[in-house]
Amino acid sequence: MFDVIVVGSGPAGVSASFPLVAAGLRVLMIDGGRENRVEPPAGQYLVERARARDQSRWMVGADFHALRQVSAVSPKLRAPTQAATFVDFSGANRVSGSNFALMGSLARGGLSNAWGCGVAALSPGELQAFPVDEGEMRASYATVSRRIGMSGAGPDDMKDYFGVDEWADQPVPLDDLHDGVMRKYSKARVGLREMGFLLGRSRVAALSTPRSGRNACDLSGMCLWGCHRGALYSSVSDLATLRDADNFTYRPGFIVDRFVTHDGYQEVIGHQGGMSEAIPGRRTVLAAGTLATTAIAMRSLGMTRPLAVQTSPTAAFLLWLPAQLGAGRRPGFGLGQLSFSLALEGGLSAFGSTFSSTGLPVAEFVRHLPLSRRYGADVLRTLLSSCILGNAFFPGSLSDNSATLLTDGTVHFQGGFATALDPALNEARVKLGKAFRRLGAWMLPGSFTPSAPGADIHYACSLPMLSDPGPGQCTAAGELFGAPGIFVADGASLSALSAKSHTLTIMANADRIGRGMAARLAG
Amino acid sequence: MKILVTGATGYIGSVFVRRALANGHGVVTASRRRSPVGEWIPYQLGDAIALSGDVDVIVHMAADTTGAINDPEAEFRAAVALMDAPSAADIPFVFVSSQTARADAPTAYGRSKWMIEQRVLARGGWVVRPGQVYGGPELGLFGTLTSLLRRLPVLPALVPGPLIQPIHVEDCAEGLLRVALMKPAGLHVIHLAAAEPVTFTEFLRRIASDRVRKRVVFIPFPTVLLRGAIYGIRRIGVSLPVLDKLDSLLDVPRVSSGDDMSALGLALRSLDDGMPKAGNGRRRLLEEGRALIGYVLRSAPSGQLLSRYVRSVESVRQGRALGLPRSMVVMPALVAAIDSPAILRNHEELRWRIDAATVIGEASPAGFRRFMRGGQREATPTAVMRLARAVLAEIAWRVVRPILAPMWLRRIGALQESARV
Ligand SMILES: Cc1cc2nc3c(=O)[nH]c(=O)nc-3n(C[C@H](O)[C@H](O)[C@H](O)COP(=O)(O)OP(=O)(O)OC[C@H]3O[C@@H](n4cnc5c(N)ncnc54)[C@H](O)[C@@H]3O)c2cc1C
Repeated sequence: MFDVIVVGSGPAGVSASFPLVAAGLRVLMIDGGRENRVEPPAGQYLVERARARDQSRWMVGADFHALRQVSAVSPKLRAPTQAATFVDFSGANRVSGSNFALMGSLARGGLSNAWGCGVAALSPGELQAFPVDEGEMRASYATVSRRIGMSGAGPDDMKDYFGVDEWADQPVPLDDLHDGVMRKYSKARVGLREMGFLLGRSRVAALSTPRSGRNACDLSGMCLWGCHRGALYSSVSDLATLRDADNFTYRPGFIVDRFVTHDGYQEVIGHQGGMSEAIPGRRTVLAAGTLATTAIAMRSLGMTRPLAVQTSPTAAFLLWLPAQLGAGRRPGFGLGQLSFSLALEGGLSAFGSTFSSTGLPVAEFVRHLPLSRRYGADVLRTLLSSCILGNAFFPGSLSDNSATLLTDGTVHFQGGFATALDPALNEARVKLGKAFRRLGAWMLPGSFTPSAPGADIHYACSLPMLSDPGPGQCTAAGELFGAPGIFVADGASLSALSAKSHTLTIMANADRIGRGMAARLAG
Repeated sequence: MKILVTGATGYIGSVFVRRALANGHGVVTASRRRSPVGEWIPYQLGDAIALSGDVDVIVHMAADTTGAINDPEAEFRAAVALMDAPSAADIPFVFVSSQTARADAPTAYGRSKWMIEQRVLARGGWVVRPGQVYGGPELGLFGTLTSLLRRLPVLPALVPGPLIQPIHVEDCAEGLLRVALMKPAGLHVIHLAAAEPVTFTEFLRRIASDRVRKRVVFIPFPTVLLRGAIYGIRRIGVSLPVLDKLDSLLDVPRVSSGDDMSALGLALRSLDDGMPKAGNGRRRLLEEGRALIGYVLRSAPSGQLLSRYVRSVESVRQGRALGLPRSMVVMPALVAAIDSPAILRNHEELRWRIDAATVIGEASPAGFRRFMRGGQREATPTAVMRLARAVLAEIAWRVVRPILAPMWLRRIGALQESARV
């Protein structure tokens, strides 16, 4: 019998596994096992686009993946190179949604194959909602941050907000557009800070210096499609490290449906290739991604009472830099370059980043213009090289989603927003418009677009850790109430969801939970 | 469902059997010769038939057109023998008749169909009257006309031209299948035909240009003379099934088929879509790709992009062309007349195609130049001028669009329905 079964090879699963493996425990990791088959090109985006006659292979897909997914919420879901990251998730996990963008992964490495690499640590104040020791959490942040590698450190106004500079390397270079914005900010910052607007480099899990088999970013601009250099963190690389250990076993392609707890052990019940199977283990870590983990837990315990699920409501907008009109395209980083935090009424705050449009298909934008296609393309052909994209995230308290177990075992997610979201969105739109205007960037009218519930993919807090948990909640150690031996190590067990990128916190918490389990099992 | 089919080797019959099987139905063919597909029971027109118990519906379309002489009396007797067979007594019966069926039809053919119809209706069965069937395998009257057009460089254009209401053989088979499945109560005589008629000459012209793909010269020819000729041939004692068919063609009444089509939920493909051979169907899609990608890309798309477009529509959207007007194929800029966010909101399929043209067009070096200026700088005055030009063009289209769009959209709207089937 394995000491610990870890369900999921995403950021949460690998983070929980490292301390368990280090303690000499026998660990079995299982996941959906899907792997992307369409390789992103090895070259520079601009060069490939200018020359390659077969660029359709990775931009559209031989099976027209991009067209099949034409109404999906994110360009990542259209990228043929990411098809296996998202495929079959809801069917296999028996989850459904209404008014809810339901995304998840059955892939090796989970959603981290496609993530935006934004990282941040929670402040001591934010951690107060968690029933955990702050020092322990800080140590876990350090462990995972050092392991995955990150960049963006610098003495800017966002240093404290991110709280990861101790472990981060110098940033990847800014492109000209962002450089211009940042320069203007250094002059206008006093006034903007008074407004509650802070700007700085994005802290991202992307390498600016090579480390253990992964190359540094070369500004290829291929981030959306997948980095062949391995500069962007994905838990696939951690999985490879774990597999070097003798006491670690990896079993891809096993789909977990539920668990059963027994005295002193549990069974994880699922199927592989049409064959049902129950795998026994002394402890079980659920890290299948918040939605899948929530479904597995509700189904196993027959939780008929709906659970609240948090997401970070989000909006996107387009900024035009008139001074850059006609700029040529340059190689550059495709993920967040600058990030801001914005204080809002009622003690709320929003967080967001800005991006270059260079590595994205223009089709992504032209579809949404209020113009006919040909003239829309004319406009963007001229305008887009002087634009940057922005997004803004809002705290999970402004979401209002629920998960309900249906009689057939399906778990249904119903999306929604708190009424306080609308004023917050309005306030943010106006304030961001003003702030960026001072930085020489005009928010294009009508471009500020809120997304559907769940489209942020920051699903969390469905089975939150509390110091005194009840049904549908977890202990501070991550153990699920009513299910001894079952530990929830992904976003589901977070106690609160701020506007910050939450994955680093998931990883730190998983590391902390893994350590706790290791101490008790080994000791 | 298990369907007993007579005449399964005929024009409509063969297509019907394939379609029924493809839809997961059981098919029993009743014919003299063993049929290559489905179950088979030996059956000769005129024989009574012994059915096994599990047949759910009988579709009778056998008519003896193989012999040199067709005998309406015999056909009537055969149909009755089939209907009245003890083992068939309680089984729903669908009879494939003809638009010429009338008590006072000028031809014996039309009269015998009418007599059979009466018997079918009396027993609570269904009568299906197909219009002018075309497309698919070159059989039946369609086959005769096609081979005639292949051989003759000149054909008469009848004046006044008789009107026909065409239907593609696949649509006809689908309609028939739906009748057999739905057994619509209160609708026992069903016309399967295009709501809008075309002249017989136009129909022949389409066969020539889209199917046979050759130029045929049509010389006006008075219909009276043809009638006279048919009469003359009969008088000298020759009786050919094809003469009967031609004769009845001159006599086809116009039927209003629209309601029947919608009762069955059937959307017919246009002659444009249906007439070319399967492989040639791509031609329409290629033209559509040329129009749409050319419109978005502002330059003629490469063959590679075009074939990608065609394959995308074929593999993601079942592959029917929307039927854009020719003018747009010649002048892609005109697509702007039917492309606005408001229009696309209501025309989902058109929207998908324009999206596909955008996405596919962009993923190429030409697309990179078009959408991103090949990454090059642009001088500010040029940029300003280009923006102004795009905005002005957009405004100009907003002015003329309300005049042009409705006419073109009506055509595409109707076709879109069938593109989704
Ligand atoms: C486009 C995009 C951008 C993002 N950007 C950011 C960002 O910038 N910053 C940030 O913090 N977060 C971001 N995220 C979110 C981030 O990717 C997730 O928070 C993170 O991957 C969650 O990790 P996880 O290990 O909990 O789950 P996942 O990464 O979803 O991994 C789940 C694992 O479980 C396995 N699994 C699933 N179901 C089953 C089952 N039934 N049986 C067995 N195995 C199963 C899968 O195979 C996989 O290995 C982004 C996500 C996306 C999609």
